[in-house]
Amino acid sequence: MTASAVWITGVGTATPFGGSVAAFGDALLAGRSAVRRVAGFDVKDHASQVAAQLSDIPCPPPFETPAALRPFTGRDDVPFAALAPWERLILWCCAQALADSGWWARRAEVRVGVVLGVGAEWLLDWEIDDGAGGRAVRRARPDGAAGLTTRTRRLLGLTGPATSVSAACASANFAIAQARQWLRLGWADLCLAGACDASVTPMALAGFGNLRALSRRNAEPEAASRPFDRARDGFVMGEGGAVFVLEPAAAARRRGARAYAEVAGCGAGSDAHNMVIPSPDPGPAAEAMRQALADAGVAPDRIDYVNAHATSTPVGDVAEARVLAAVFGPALGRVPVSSTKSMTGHLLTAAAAVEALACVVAMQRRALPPTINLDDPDPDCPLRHVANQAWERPVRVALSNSFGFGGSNTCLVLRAV
Amino acid sequence: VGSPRKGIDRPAPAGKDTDVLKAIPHTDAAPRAVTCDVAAHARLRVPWPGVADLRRQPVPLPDGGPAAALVKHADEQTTVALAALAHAVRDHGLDGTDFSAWGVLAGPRYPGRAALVPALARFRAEGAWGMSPHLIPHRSLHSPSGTVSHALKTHGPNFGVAGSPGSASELLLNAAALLASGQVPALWVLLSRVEPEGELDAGGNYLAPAHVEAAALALTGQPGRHRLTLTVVGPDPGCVLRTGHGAPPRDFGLPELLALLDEAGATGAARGVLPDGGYVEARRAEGRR
Repeated sequence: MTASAVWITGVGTATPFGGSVAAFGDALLAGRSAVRRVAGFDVKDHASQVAAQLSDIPCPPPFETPAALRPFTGRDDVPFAALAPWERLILWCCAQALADSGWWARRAEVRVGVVLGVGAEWLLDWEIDDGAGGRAVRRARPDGAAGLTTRTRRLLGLTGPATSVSAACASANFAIAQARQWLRLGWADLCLAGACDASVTPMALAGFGNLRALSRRNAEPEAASRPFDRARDGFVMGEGGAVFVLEPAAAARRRGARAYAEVAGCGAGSDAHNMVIPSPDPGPAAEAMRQALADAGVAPDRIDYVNAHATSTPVGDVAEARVLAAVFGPALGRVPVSSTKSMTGHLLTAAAAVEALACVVAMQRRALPPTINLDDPDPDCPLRHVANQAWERPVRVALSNSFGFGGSNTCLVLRAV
Repeated sequence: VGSPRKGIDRPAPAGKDTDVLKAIPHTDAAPRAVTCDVAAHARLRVPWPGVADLRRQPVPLPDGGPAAALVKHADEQTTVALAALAHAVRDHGLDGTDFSAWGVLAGPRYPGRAALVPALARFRAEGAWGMSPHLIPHRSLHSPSGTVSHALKTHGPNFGVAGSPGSASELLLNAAALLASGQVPALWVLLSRVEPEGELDAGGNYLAPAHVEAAALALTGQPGRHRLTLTVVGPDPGCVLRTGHGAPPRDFGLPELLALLDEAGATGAARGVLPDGGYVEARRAEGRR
């Protein structure tokens, strides 16, 4: 452990599998799919009609009354249940993470920074409002409304710096990397870092559908997300999130904190190729991976598990397989790879956060989550697949890739503590 | 497959967690300052109707780009920010610079708002078929940085920041942290907004005159070679006492950043207080370009 090491000391999560790490881990290692036919709005004219949606988001006990939410809503009459799903998600995950780390009751005594991946909060807000007959999108905004991260910081009574970052589906890896750097600079004592997403709305489903990015396997929802499988036909939207408490390892050790993992390496770069389509050249994404490995001081052949970005699109999965081949070289056939998006769907802004949590689960339970629906592996993705069933084995170092629109490539290396 | 580690899934906050805290204050070290050079900067203010012309004929970048096709679907703020960047390159003699290792951070305010108005109307009328596939890739918070990265062929990290008022503060904290990490040699930092953010008609046009404003700053991680330096310092441990519990933040956005640069240019130095604690200081160094 280096002097600047940063540990994960708390986790808050909610996914379609439930509002706890245990429920998430149980489902992943059992190989369960959360994908169903979309509920909540009519999808008959949508090309893709399946998603992994959240059904329930618990309310953190301190925020059970509308008055308690006033710093967040600016009003006294808005209950937790009336908040937008992504707002409820963020509050649940942040509060749960602080509680889990042991800092909840004394969070105001230290500088708690907040770095959250936030993708399209305003577009989603305005779409929901419009659907309810409002016209908020057209109204003047003379004073400007604070963003989700700022309001979350205010509600939780935190005094560290706060920011929203967005690199589409790579957002949460940036959030974790920036939070770690803020800690190293001494700008915060601990940081909440992660992302949440609940974007399964009519327009978002249509938008991704019209990009021809989504699976149309509507008759078999649970089989729709099938990364690396020859019959894959697009990704499946998912909802959920994860927020971590990041803390300098030295301080965490002093207070006897429980550590989930060390944030050992972060790498990032850009394709500069296309806003939507991944580069056919594996070089830029491979460079992000190499950065993360070098940052962690880990050789590629020391990686015990790769959680791939693999979204189940025909182009993207092959492109990532080439990136993995470029980085791992001869070790490629030895390193187990899976895509948990086969079970969770693609959580977009929150994907990297939930997949970092999948790596943590693998470390804790000494088991690798599988890629389900991998019945006929694509020969253009010649990897050591953890296919369909979890593998029991210890995980010392895990690597998670996340790539996003705008050409973003990110990689996170977590090390067991 | 084993069971989860005991204690991992404690329920929501219940105030029983203080037993594990043995060291408060957590950190007493002074926060580190990050100093960088401003290698170039430019600002641009374009009337809302004029953005369409800029989209059709973008200000050329050193390599002749960006092609109009690159910004055809881009947000108005992206289009003007890219033009501001092109002016910064030209005005500060960066034409021959290799930007390939640079990063890009962009902080638009309420990106995509105007475009969403007609998109919502069309969606209501036509259903899923009527939803443009360009809205999500080109009108989200990540879009300006991605477009600029593509236009300049930068392979460093690119991401969007904030999306709300006060973007400059968040941009500076992120930019300084990224430069301090040594991951990139330099960054483009882009800040933009529509001002005033007034009422829109059914077509997504501002009812009162509005301008798209943007600033582009080229920040390099090796200070001391250019005429202007920026120093960014995050909150110190004392901010917990000064700021208090849940104190409302003060904005530090585009106008505050531009005022800071202007004041430093005129008087030699200026300091701005960031809303979450910490500060940014601009200093002019004589004898440098």
